[in-house]
Amino acid sequence: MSDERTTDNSRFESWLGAAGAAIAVPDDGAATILELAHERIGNVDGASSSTIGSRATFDRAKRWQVVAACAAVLTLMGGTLAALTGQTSKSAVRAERVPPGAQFGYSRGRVADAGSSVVGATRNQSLSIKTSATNGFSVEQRSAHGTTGADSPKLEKNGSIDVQLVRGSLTAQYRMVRTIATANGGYLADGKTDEAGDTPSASATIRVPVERFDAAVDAIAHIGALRGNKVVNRTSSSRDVTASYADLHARLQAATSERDQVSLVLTKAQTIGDILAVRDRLNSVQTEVDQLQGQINVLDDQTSYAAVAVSLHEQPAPLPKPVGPAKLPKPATGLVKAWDDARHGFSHSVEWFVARSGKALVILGALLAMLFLARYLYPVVRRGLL
Amino acid sequence: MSRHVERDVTGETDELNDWLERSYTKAYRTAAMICGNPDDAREAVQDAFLRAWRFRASLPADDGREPWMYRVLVNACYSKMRREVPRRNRERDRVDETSPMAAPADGPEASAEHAVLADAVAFALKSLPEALRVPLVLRYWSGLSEREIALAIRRRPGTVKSRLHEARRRLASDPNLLGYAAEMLGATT
Repeated sequence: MSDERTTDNSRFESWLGAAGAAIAVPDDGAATILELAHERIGNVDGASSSTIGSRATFDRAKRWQVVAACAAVLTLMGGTLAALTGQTSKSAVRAERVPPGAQFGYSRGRVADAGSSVVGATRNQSLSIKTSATNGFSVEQRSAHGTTGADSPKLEKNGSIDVQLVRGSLTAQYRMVRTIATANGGYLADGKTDEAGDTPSASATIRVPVERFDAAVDAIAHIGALRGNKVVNRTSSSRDVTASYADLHARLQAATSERDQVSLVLTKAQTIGDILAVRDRLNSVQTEVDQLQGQINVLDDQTSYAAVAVSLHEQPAPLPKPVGPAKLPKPATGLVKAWDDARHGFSHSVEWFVARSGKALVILGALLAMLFLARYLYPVVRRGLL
Repeated sequence: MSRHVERDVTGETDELNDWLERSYTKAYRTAAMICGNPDDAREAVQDAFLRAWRFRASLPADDGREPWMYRVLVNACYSKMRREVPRRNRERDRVDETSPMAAPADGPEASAEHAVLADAVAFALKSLPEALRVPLVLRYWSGLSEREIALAIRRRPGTVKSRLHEARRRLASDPNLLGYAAEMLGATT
């Protein structure tokens, strides 16, 4: 057994020896290393040679690489920070973008009910996102309204919103709706309040310029995000009436032209019969012109002002407690309380994780990029320091 | 400072230079067999010796210096192979195995046979995975013990032993070396 092992060892030694001896060795290898050692490290001995000596003889040719690496890492870190802070500031700006008319209610809600201010702010974020998303549309509307040309789009907008209010706030919120209408350059077209009964309610139709439609709806919806109010339903519709508008204009032009011609004919009529016949025709044409003009006016009005039907109703009164022997609430035991705490803690943790996953992804990406840089730049730096 | 001057005066630096020149050939060939590439080998040896020079004040004594150097050298080889030059075309830069030093003085036939054996062993080494090749080279070329190899590659001695066993088995069963193995066995029996 030991002979076999010895044989094995000698065999592999001879094999490796043959392979190793066949490798050509650079003639100036050792001399180059000694030269490099003296050049880079010098004769400073001991521990100081690894710091002072290497620093003093740092390879100047590699210095730019180290500087570039540091600059790249710093740029990456700066970019990441800027992206993160930009995200934060954008969301802050979004949160502060409160539609006109809702600013008062928003601030009052925060002051009056600090507990719901976070919810209010959160809802406000989504609210302002909707506003910004519809801004482009509003700009188009503004230009269409300003030019009123035949080739400009004419859009008719309508919307409705149904808000459930906390008890006792109907009157104030109804006033708020009216304020929103006037603040957006519109008016309260129709309104009705019914404060009797268990569920006081109010309905109103406000009309605002179409370019303020989205802002007004958002402002009213913002009421629903405050102090326990809730937006139950919200709809908006838009209809392109450009074709109808152009058709009415063409028909009006034709009718007007015909009316002028009939008027001219009337002036040239000689007999009573002719005069009566032409007058009848003139009357019918004039009626048609008036009808067309009226339809155009209606369309103009509908495309200039959008209607928002607002329905406000308070929450129904809570049912009276059944009369009976007073039942004391069952005190929670330690185990039940612990279970509830754990359940809430778990749900809060999941919410927290989901809410921050976006930012975490950004941070993770930045970390990976930095890891990548360190992975490939560290050897360069290390060789430079050697 | 006076201590450093004293050390220089005592000739320790010259002794280090001598040791470096003496060890260079063996170290270079070890690195070449591990890396399989002359550029990697040259850079690895250079890094290892520069490190030795830099920390020469704390270098082990003569007996422990070789294992220390091989440990640094193996790390440098790993670094070259894995991290610093991952995309180097190693096939193109194969180790030049036509060294005039390789020719033994037994005549042209023995020289040719020696060259064929060296080529076959080099090829077999390259086909071995790195985990097996490194201990094999350190054991049978550099002459390190299993314990010193374990220190050099930072593995347990048992792991080194099993890797050496596997490396030997694979090398012995290499078809290009089978004839040499039989010849060797015949010579011993």
